[in-house]
Amino acid sequence: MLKYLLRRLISGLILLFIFVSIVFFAVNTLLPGDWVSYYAMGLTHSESAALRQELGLDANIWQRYLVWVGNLFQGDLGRGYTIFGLGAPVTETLKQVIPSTILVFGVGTVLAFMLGEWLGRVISWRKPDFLTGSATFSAITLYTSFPPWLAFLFTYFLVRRYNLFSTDPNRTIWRRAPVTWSGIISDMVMALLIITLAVMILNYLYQRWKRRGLPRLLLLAIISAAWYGSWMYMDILPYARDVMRVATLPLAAYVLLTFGEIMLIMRTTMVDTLHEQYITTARAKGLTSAEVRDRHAARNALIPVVSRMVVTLPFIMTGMVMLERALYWEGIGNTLFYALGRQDVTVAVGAVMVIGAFSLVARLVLDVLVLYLDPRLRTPSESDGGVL
Amino acid sequence: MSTGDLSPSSSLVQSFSKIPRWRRLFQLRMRGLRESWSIFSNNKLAIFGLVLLVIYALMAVIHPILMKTIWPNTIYNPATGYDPNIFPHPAPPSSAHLLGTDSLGRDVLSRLLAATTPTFILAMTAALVTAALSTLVGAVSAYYRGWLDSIFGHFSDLLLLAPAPMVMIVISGISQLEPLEFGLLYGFLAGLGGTAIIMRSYALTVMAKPFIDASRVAGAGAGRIIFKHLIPQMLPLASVQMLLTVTGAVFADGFSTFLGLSITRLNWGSLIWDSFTLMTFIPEVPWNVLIPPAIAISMFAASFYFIARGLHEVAEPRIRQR
Repeated sequence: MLKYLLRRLISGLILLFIFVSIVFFAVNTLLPGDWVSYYAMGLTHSESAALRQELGLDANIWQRYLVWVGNLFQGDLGRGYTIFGLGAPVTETLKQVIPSTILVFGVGTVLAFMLGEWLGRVISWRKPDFLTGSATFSAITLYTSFPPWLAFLFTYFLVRRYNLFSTDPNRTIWRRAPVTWSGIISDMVMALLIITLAVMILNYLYQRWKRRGLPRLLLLAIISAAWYGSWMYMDILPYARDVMRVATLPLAAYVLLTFGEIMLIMRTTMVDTLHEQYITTARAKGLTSAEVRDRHAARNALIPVVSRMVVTLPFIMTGMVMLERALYWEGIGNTLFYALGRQDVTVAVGAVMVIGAFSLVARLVLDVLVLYLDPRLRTPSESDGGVL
Repeated sequence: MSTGDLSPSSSLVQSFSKIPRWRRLFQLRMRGLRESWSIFSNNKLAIFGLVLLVIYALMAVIHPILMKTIWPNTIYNPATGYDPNIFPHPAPPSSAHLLGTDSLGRDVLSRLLAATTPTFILAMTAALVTAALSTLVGAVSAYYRGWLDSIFGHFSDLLLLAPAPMVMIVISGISQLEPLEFGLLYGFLAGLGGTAIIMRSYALTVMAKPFIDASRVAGAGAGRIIFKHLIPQMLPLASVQMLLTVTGAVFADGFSTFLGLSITRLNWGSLIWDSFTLMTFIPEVPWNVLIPPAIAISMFAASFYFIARGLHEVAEPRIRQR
């Protein structure tokens, strides 16, 4: 299984490289003009030629590609273009926005997945009534609502009308702060990752001991309490709270937009498992309905949901730029579209590469999950090809 | 029939064989359709979805007719119309303007109807292309496995790294796409990319079911197993995927006008965006302009989901027992 994952990783990296190369050529050749023609419109021919030479834009596209690839393997993505010529290194720009994307989309995806999975599981096993109807209705309504529209409703009612949340940070706190906005976010993300991992391991040990894991709501409560505690431990409490005050809106909007899709697929596949023979067997053994549902049916129904997540992750990540933009959340997608609009080629290619790398990592995680969920795919002959 | 006179039912067989083969097949097919329809029409939500879709189709057709007959072009033109009889624009709904007017004095209903045609064409193309491509690719690669599977798989992986809406937004920034082209391209990207992966993984679980082995033992060939056994099982999920594609395509189209990368096309997304832009000049929120296109997008995508539920019951007879 390790060998299989290693092979997936290597083929994924090769694909990522091919993809980024395609993006490099596409962005450089398909966009009309270049950075000089976009920003320095008043220059004479000789001046813009000199500027192109200074920025390295005058070379043949193949030469530029070779230089770019050479730098790429040294971990250097080049420098962005600004009004003053060459700006900050792309890696620095990306480092500032990646944690905020992980915070909103990582946490949001996990929450949306748990919510959607739970709702879909419960609804599919109930006779159609008011509760299932309204849950399905609200899931479809939320899922099919246009993201900027939802963001507008959120800002209009929660920020402008009732002033519950905010879309920009509290300036008085941050003016004297010894830390930066992105620094705090990356600290928070690291703390959350460590805490989640620790709780998962503890839960696994508990499961080995008692043959049953802790309820999921309890796990969530433990994780969030420990996270809050870690802010106090790291002595960043006021800043972290301000970050969360701003992050809550995009997070909530993202969860509401996403969970419907997961719920609908979970429901469809759960209904399919309902009449399988192993369900009848489990019922005949005398298990309660909830046990049959959660431990026998849901495990099989999860497979299509998990494989759906593979596609959803990168897709929504960029699709939700609308959300990032409408709610002023500085994430990777926001950076990408600003860069595209400004012909800032190096930043755009870097952002696309990060998105590709994210989806690659998510792919591997989900590969492991599917192998864990479906033992049939774990036989040696099957694991040769791709699993998903 | 040389031994026909020995058999007691020879006259019956002869009279049956007089009916041409295509007609018998046609009758069988019709009977199957009628049965499927009776199952489908028992589901109220599915009928609701179908009715919604028909209403959208009517909306797409009716706008040019209204413009030719009862709506004078100067007042009701979706881009340049202006009603001088009403003073403060945006105006609330009235008998002359059923949904009121927007901040520039244009009739909201007329704009909504005019936006339906391109969105309808785009969404239908994208949905059908995605469903067809992904089902076919998923079924073929789950059946054959091997090198064919790995080629399709790697191609999907490559497309997956570039989210379809992102690509479409960039492309429509470079060149102006017609709704049909937009739908085809989107369907291609989504159908060979992510959706193909889902359909393939579902096809794999279908391939593991015993009836596939049974039909293989009975001597069925590749084509028969794929088209008669595998694909019918995949249709319900394919129709749910159609819903997902429709929302994605409509949102991507709306969003491409958002970023100002393309010249403003008339669609539901740009209707919302236009009124957002106008709100920077007139801060009062024009709810009568904002809500109709928002509902139109939601209902359009939801109609596909309702139809998907009906199709699911047709394809999976066992859930009807509930």
